[in-house]
Amino acid sequence: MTALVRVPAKAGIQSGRRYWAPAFAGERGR
Amino acid sequence: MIQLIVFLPLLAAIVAGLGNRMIGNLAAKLVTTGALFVGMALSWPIFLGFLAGTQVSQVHPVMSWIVSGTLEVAWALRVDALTAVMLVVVTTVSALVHLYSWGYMAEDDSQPRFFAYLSLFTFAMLMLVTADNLVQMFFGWEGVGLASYLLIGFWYHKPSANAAALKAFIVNRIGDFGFSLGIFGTFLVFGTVSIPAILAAAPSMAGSTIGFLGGRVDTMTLLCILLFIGACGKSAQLGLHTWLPDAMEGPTPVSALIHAATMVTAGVFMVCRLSPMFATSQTATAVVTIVGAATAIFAATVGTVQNDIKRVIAYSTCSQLGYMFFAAGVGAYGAAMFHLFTHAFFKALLFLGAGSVIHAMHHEQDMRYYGALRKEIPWTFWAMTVGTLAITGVGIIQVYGLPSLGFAGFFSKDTIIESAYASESAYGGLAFFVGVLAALLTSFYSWRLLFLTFFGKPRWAQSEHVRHALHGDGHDHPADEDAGHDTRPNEASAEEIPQGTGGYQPHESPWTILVPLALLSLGAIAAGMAFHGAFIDPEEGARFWGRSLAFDAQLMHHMHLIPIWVKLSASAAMVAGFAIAFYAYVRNTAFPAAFVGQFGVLYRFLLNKWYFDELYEIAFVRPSLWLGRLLWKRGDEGTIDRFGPDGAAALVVAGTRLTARIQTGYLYTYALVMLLGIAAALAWMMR
Repeated sequence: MTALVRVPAKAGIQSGRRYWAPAFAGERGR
Repeated sequence: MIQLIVFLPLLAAIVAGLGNRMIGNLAAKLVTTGALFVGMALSWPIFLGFLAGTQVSQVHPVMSWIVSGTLEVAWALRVDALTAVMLVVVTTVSALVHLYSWGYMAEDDSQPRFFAYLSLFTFAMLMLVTADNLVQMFFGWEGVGLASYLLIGFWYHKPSANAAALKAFIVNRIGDFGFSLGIFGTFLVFGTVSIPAILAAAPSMAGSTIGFLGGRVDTMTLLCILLFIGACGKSAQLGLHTWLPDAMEGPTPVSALIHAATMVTAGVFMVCRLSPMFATSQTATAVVTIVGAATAIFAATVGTVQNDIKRVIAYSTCSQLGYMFFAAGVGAYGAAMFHLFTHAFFKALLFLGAGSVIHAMHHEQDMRYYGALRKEIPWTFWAMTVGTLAITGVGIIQVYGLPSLGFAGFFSKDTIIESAYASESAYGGLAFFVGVLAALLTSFYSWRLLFLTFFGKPRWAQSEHVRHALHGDGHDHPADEDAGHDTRPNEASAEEIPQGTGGYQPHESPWTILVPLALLSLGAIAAGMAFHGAFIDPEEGARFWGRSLAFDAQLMHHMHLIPIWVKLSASAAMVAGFAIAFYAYVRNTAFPAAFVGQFGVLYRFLLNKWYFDELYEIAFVRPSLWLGRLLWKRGDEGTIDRFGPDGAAALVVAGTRLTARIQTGYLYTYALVMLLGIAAALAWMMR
């Protein structure tokens, strides 16, 4: 199934597994 | 089939909304109402299938939505027992409210817009309850918020309606901020937004810690509390409740559908949907219990003194939502969903009944100007009576093996109160006592509403709306609904309002209004008796809910072993509330005024809703306005504009003015300048 929205992982939502959410600053995802 | 249920309302909303005046009132009403009745007809078999055990949980993929690295968000419609319960609630109440609106909104000028909004709301709500991942749930969550905003502000020419719509939107954004942080955090911890995957992984994360705002806190507690903040906003729990009473500015059918039966229960639904996650954190469930119990008692106290009929029911809704939350908090998720289910029927009934009264009284909403309507609008009276019997929880407990008999609220509310007592949870005992006290207040304000409206002598003559009907034009425009802001502390009590009909003759509502009342009455009578086994019985419930929520069969079993006084306490509270209301509003009608004279401070405290609005005005609204004004006047106008565009423009103006002064048009001035120029040039060359 083709996705309606496809964003390269590096482009923003997840760049290098660091998340843009100041509240969780410094926390790394699994 | 589920695709039809979910997307038909969207299609109808598009047709009615874009077609608007082109297709006319009738077509818009037929399309939207038809879509909802089809949805209702398709939803009940699914629910009954789960009851009978023939239906199994399914997920119907629609399309892939967002893909970015490991973040994968799909559109999928999840159908399990929990969804099935919500499906019948949403489609049934929505279909009946659509039908009711044929009568109620008959005189309105923009009916296609109204029906398009209603159907759009239903679509968003269905999207929310069928969500298989948190992002899709958030989409539905925001969709219902938008529809709620549009419908509260439906009469956009009324400033009060606009203000209420904005208030609802902004307060909900505060809750949604917590909710979205919760979703971010959940994705951070679990690496997925798929609900089944999160619930499966949740127990393994219990006890871990996460960095938040610079500190380290328990992961599951943090995530659950963040998500619960979202639930508080949507379900009007203490602290974020202030928008709900003001939302009564919207048309009454909207209050019944969105602000009683469906949207405001989304928070409870979300907590139940994520119940395996909440079950991993004792702190989070304690917070849910305390907030729920506090809301139940707070809203009930405020509801006892309000004079606007819709406001009383609005606070009652707030209070009942508190019940659902503390049931979820003590681990009785089945009981919370059961109360959600029965509450949808009897509360929608009470709201639509109130709408019928308002319709009959020419849009007077103040109960002090009602009275003696029993004989004038008998059908509405009986419907409201059934609703009141259901919400107060009238019924007989099981004796000698005979089946228990009772109205819907009897089964669900008593279950919540008993399960709070039976639970091992730290705050269960507190929740039990608060629940019983709130049951007394619930009974009091519900019967007070009924007695003030339907009993006693008529007090219609002084009502502005009624006078308007008698002397002015006879038209009946629903937008004339009151603001309901009348909370002046020195107001007269009902007893002091001069009696008399003023020659006004209330009229019973048309069949489009009475049929939904009749059908909802049926639900309010039977929903408890018919379905209590499936929702809360230890064995049957475990089978019905399956894995759709964390059903605690042991707690439901313990509930049967509690002492008899606990079982009777809720009913005793109900009888006491009735007795007080009967004494104060039928027997000795001078009593309320005397009571207010004695306890004026308490009365004003409750009448002003514990001064929450005033507190927020000082704590949040004024500082925000001050900050906004500072940034506007000092920051924007005083700094940026002053040295930026305004300053540059002023400089050019000053420069040109100087130049213009030199260009006088007198020949001798120019000759002087030329002479000075030549002198300067000569001086330069001869140096």
